[in-house]
Amino acid sequence: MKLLDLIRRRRPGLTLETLRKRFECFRRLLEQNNHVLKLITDAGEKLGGEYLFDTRYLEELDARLAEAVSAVVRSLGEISGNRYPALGRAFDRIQGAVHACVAQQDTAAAMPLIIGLDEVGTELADAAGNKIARLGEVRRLGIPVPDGFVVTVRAANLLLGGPHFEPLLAAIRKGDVAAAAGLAAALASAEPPPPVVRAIRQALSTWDRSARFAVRSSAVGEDGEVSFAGQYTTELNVPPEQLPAAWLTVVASLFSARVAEYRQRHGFPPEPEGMAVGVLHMVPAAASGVIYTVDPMEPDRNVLIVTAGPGLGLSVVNGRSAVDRFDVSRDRPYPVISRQIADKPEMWVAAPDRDVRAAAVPNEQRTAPAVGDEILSSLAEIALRIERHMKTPQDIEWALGPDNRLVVLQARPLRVDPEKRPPGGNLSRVRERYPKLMEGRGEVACRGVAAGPVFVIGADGSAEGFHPGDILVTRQASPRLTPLAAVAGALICDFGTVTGHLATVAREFRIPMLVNTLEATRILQPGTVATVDAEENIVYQGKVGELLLHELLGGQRYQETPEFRVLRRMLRHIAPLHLRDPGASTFSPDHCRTYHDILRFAHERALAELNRLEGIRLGAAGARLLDLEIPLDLSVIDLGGGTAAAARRGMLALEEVTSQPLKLLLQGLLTPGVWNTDPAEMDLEGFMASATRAGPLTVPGADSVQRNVAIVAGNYVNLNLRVGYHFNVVDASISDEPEYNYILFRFVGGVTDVTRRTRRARLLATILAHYDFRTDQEGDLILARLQTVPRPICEKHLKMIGRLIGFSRQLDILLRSDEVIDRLVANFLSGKYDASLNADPTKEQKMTSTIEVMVLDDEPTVCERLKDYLEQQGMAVETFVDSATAVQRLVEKCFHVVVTDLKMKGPTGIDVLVTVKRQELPTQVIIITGYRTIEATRGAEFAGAFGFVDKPFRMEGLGTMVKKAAKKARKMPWPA
Amino acid sequence: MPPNFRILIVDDENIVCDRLGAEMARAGYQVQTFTESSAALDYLSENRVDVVITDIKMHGPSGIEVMRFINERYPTTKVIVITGFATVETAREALKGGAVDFIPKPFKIRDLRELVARLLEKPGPQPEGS
Repeated sequence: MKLLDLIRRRRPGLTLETLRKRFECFRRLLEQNNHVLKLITDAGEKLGGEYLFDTRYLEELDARLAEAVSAVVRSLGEISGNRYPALGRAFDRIQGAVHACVAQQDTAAAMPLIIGLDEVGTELADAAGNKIARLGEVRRLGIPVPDGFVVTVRAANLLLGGPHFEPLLAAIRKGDVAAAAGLAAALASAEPPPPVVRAIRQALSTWDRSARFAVRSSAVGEDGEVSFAGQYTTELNVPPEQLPAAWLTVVASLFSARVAEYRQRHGFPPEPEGMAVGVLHMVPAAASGVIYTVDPMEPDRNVLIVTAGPGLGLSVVNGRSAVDRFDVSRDRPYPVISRQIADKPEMWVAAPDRDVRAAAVPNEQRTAPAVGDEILSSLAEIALRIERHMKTPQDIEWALGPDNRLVVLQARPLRVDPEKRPPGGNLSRVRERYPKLMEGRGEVACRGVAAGPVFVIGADGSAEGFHPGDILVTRQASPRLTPLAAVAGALICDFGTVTGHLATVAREFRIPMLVNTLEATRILQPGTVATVDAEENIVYQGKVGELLLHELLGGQRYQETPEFRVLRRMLRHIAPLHLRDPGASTFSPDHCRTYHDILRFAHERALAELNRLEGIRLGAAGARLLDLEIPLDLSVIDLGGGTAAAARRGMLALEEVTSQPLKLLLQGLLTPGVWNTDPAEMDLEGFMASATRAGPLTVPGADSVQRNVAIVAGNYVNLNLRVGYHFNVVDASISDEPEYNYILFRFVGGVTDVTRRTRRARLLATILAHYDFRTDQEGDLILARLQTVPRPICEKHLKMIGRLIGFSRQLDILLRSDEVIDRLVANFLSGKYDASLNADPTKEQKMTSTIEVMVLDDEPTVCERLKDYLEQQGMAVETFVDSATAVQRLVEKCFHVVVTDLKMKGPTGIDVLVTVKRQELPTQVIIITGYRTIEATRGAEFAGAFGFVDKPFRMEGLGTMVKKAAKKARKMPWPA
Repeated sequence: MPPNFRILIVDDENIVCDRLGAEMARAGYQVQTFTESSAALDYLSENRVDVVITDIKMHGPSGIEVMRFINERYPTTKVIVITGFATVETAREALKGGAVDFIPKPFKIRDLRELVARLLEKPGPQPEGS
């Protein structure tokens, strides 16, 4: 790309033609980029269970993605003059990984010897074995499991592939049972392969030497329909240096006589599938046990069965010692239905060096329940969350740490007597019996069935009182709900799409979800129990037991089909975004782990190349300054069809702009109220921050391009706009073909402190999400995309972006607290753009001569007396007896002085003081107290109270103190 | 509750037979599934069904051949063609060959189920023995 090289060397005379080419190249990259993102979104959608797809689809997806992503890589090469050759290598690497998933090639050969537990999920069962893969899956749900790693199937293959063992394996394959014993004996005297030893040592480097581990088998195919439970060895309390040997022992147990006999009896092929080994930090358990999420003999009893004993779980699992048994209701708050407490004379504890030993249970604990009801209730909640995710009844091994923290050690499908399963087939009669609250509204984003109390997210976004397992009902499918969504029983949104962020979360966590129902928040009453059938898109009133049981025991577990597992595995190399912060040193091709990372990198760098405008000479590029009533200093370069042909010289009038997208942006910017010409008022901190950051604002040279440039064509705009301290980039194209339409908005701010910048980014992200933009946020930077939308929507949203650019200009100073964000969002969405005036109507009253006082005391008579007195003194007084309400009010309205009692129910006087300081309010706090203690005084003085008044006090004295305090408040930076 | 309509599904991908079959059975239909088209043809030479859902490209006889067989033998049986090779050409060929509709993979199961329900509402095939 010689021409581009010219630009970089800042040679004069860059022509319009060159610029045009560069932009065409960039636009092509964007189109390819959008195409890939669409493919990724579509693929993610397939995990919801609504679609039926087969291996051919997966192959096609692999091929199409490879083609599209490599086109993006090539385009970046073209724009940048092949500046990033490493990106090509990253592509090859990722493409290889994706392709290996589809081709189902011997994944064992490509896998690492060790994988951290954080990286593991059921899609990696081939490498990590079923047991550890499932444990990793549980960890992803945010449920505590021991830390650790897995030594993969490849390590065992490395051992068994050695020359000593291969002949014995061959004999086993032929059905020679005796050969298994021979192999077991040979393995007993073998050494672990050096690469495995090295890998284990490396994995241990972050661990303390005193750590002890449980080394557990995790065979591929174990815990399938016929469970191999307890067939393999588990080594307990192993010190780090003995781990390689323990690993070998566990692998060897694959060939024990016991296992060989078991395999034969159950009709398994003689040669076992791979063996992975989990290395998990030992939990020094105070108590432990097992929980079944249903009664395997009577699944319709609606109980969980818990067994528990003191010490390590060994006793419970092996059935050697007596344990307690509890039946716990499956309905919240999970009360204990029945209990059977045993005399427990013995328990297992960790031995000092290695292994475990039996110990006597202290007398007073022998006949006491091993765990209390509260623990049982938490245990039930955790177990049901795992069951909801796994979609089958679970058999879960748990332990209670010394800090009373529950840890899950293992979760596997519980075998339920097939004869006890409910009759399958037609459920329509059941369905007819229950009243329906909603039917066929909106779309299914993730299939499944769940029941629970309805929880409606409040208009203020509050989620107080939400419990895991609730049916979460909300107006917007806001990404902010992610933490709640991940633990909800089901999700129902008035708006939102099946491709949105929250839907992706729902599929990741397998939460049944309905979107675009329009009216769910109106129809579904908070607190009522409902059953969400996201198989048939029906919401029933009450708990439809038959349906739930059918789903649990007989429902389709499409997630377990090989095709779904492959797609899920593929998507791990495709969809997650790791490259977020373009300023970070890790923002490089070498750190690209997924296709999405590649796109992000290519996009960011292409944009940077595009904005390398320093070398461009305005005159040569034919730029003309736009004549506007607001001081935008915007030069327009027309690539063709973007300005009226007749106009050639001098200032460009607004009417002469024919570029549709630029016109719309300007319309937005010029909307009355959006461009507030008064600079927003700054407080001291904001002022200091901006003073120190004024550096980058250099004055452009006479003929060089200023920062504000719009490069336009009839249906295209690329706008680089610096407004105040904000740098906005808009790249957009509009046509009658939805698939060619897109808006890209990039925002970088500055000036103010980190907290406010984060708030500003959150505010913008919230607004953009409201308009269905896909938004990535990293600190200061917002990157928002909208694509494949029809012209009218594109037009509407471009105008919105124009308004947002103007609106955001005034934000920095106003973002005093998190609470302000929601209000500003609401203002913007309801058309109140003048942020500085409307941000908070109650804060409009600025410095008036009246002193604004808040009086806070939980004794109403004190409030009344103070109010009377201070009002006589010409002050404006608001009184509060409830300190929580008062604290809220403080955030809404700025008072000069707060007079508050010290000890109150709810937040105390000190809390009020802390709120004032934390919110950076100018308000002065005077504390009245009848319990003045030295400690309280010292704490409050330290926190910056204006003064103290002891009860009983004289009114005049207090009045004087309030006036002094108000005087001080007036000298403080006052909010806009 | 739909009457006892009979549906035959033939697709050499197991997942299609499994999931679609279960879904249709759940909706109250009598379902037969085949992963080998020759076996499906054997079955069809002995038995009449109301709807056939077939893949186009399979090992052995193709979906087009299955369709031809049905057109000759049971003119009232409706055929729905599903295929991963959704091009205008295949679609045209399928419709010309007598398919009532054409669904490209991957598809929404619900869409197919609704299509079947709509087809069976129209006058034409009646459940056997009615």
